[in-house]
Amino acid sequence: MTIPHPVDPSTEQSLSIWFFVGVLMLASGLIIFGQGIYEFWHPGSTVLANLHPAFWWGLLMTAFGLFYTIRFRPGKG
Amino acid sequence: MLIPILGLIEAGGWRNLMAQITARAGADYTHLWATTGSFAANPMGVHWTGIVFGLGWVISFGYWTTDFLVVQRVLSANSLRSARLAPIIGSAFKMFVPFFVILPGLLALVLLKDPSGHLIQLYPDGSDMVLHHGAHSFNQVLPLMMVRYLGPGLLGLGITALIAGFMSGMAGNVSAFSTVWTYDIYGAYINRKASDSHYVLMGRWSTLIGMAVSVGTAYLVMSSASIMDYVQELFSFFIAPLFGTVILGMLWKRATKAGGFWGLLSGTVASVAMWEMVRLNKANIRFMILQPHASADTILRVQAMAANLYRAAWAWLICVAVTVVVSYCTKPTPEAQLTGLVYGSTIIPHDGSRNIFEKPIFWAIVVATVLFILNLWLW
Repeated sequence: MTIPHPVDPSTEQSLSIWFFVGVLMLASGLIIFGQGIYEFWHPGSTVLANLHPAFWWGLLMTAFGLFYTIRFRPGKG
Repeated sequence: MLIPILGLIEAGGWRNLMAQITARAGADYTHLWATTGSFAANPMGVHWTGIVFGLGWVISFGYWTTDFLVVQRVLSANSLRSARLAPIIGSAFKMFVPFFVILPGLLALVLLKDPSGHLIQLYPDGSDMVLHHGAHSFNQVLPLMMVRYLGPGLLGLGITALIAGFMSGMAGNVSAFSTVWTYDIYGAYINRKASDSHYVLMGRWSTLIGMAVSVGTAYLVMSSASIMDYVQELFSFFIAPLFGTVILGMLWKRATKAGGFWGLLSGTVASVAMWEMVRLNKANIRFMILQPHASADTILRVQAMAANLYRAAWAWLICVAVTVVVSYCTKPTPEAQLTGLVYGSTIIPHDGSRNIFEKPIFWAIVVATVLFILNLWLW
């Protein structure tokens, strides 16, 4: 006796864990990047704020997040 | 990562940082091995033998091979090659942990200042200065450094990352506890014939109870100098002798059940006994560090962490010696029963590597080389 498959295998897709990693990184990156841009006009009071760490770190996270989100997006196979 | 990067920029680079630390705290804060030639030459009061044999050999290998938190990740690998690569990848990341954990502490030594511009003096947790005079403790270094460099957004990310790290470790340990209890103890010895749903229920309950127990153990940590001291104490009691049992059981065909049992028991009991001996009278530590004529000053210098390393080495040695002696005194297990269990009696399939870059041994050599270079650099 065969056990019926709960999902039609022809339409079944697996979501890569790296897709979620990318989405999370992208979301955090965009928020921090936005804050970094805001700080160009409203500088923070932290040490070395003149180096704009939020801007650069946000940019880096956004770039990584975008790469992983696109590279491992659902349906890419 | 941002804290060590920004800290290094503020300190004026690596060389300037080392010079400032040496000027403030002494050269022994900037070397890994150079000051381990004697117990009296470093703040931990440890000799290199304790680091190499206690930490490097017994505790580290024990952690990577017997701690179920680590082992369960390898067991869930989808191929032999992935399983072999998992600890190698883990070790590569682990080598850089000091840059995120130790470097902020070193930076804090020379960068953190009070409102009047003087360098902050840090004190141990629970000391009078921390409790009654508003001074900062060593454990507050990371939050202080985060507040120093990270503004809105980044600070939230940093705190989230810290909490996520705690939660990930906690979740791994709780699931390991639940698995070991349900599969290896309850299902194997207490109730062998229960249904799957019963075992699932048992797993869920043991998860809840495991969390309650782990919250309770937090109160035990309060009696130790730090969480690290407490963890290493437990490692020296349980992981160190267990590593002796595991390594002999895996590699030595002549090892027997009785040998493993008595070896593990004697290693654990000996470790606890050594701990109690030193707790009752710290001068007893001189026997553990093989310095029976050590001066009172040397004994005073040996910190709890150093004692943990030597205790672990002795526990392992006692476990191995007892296992070997008892195994030779008992009947060997027929080789046919060892297939799949002991290295020499098991045919290990090819792991599917197609070229040198897919071979775990290649990456193991790369990691070992980087480790060697790092040690030489920070000598």
